[in-house]
Amino acid sequence: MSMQSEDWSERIQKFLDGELSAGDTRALLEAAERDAGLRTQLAAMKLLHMHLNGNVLEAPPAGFTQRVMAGLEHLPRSVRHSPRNGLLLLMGVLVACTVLMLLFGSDLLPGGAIQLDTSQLPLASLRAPFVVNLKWVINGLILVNLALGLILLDRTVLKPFFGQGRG
Amino acid sequence: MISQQQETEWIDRVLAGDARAYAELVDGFKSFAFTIALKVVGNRADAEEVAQDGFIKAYQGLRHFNRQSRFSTWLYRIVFNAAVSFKRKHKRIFFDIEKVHVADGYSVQGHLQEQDQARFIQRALDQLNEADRLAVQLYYIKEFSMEEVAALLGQNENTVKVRIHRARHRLGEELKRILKQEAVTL
Repeated sequence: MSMQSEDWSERIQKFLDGELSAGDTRALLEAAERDAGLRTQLAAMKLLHMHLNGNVLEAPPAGFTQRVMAGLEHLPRSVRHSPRNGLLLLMGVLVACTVLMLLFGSDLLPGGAIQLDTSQLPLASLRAPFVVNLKWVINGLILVNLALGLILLDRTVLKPFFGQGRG
Repeated sequence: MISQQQETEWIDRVLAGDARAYAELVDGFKSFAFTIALKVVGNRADAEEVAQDGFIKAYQGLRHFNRQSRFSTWLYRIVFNAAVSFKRKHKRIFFDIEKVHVADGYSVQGHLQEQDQARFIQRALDQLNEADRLAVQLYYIKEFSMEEVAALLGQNENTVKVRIHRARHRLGEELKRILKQEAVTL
């Protein structure tokens, strides 16, 4: 064979796909007559071509669509994080934060700790003083609200918006 | 052939909450999805499971489908990835009952030859990697366009053409080697 096996392979593929000119086809077949190696190559690729040409679309078993639809019914219902719901919740969180901050800044709350006299409580067994610092509680609530607000913002507005690039 | 307009209409209906539209979508693409799964996993029962799984995943992700590509291309890729990971998870020798021929006592040589040929071609195909094998097999199915095969593999058309050309060449060489080997064994 004067040509490389890959060059012949290209010609054979074109021949099998019906893209080889009449002159080149004649040349290929004549060369195959003379060369046993090329003849085997041509036979192998022709066999392959004939076998793969029988490839068809395969139909799935009957009832396939119904089984897919049944599978969808068993999916857990996902929570809808619509931007509208998210923004409403976010507003709620901000209002709560504002109220808490106003409370924090007002004179309604005593600056120091409140000491509860547990002897006045019905639980007579409790003797240790029970100290509650309301400012710390309010601070905690504000922090929780802010964290909640950030999560909401991320799930309902940022992720859906920036996630549109995927898919 | 399902048009892009039809695809879009079905998707809009599904997103609006019409579950029947998804059934129509599944009906329209089930053979394509099943064929891809079958070519990768190699047997019908597992291919059905993989294709169903692909459709369920596509449904779950439909809200995030950005419509820059066709739904069919997106779906085929989901099914292909599901099939590849299924095969990795269930690494075992697949034995397709449909490929087994039970001798009836009247087998003619031609029939046997045909069986042998199919077996040799399968052996040659097994030498290719997953993507090359699927590309070659889909290339021969006229319902799959070159554009779809390329999108499925995540490459451009020219790269896939070269890939298919090389894979066919390798297959030819492999088959030639197998045939020679068989001739020596006989």
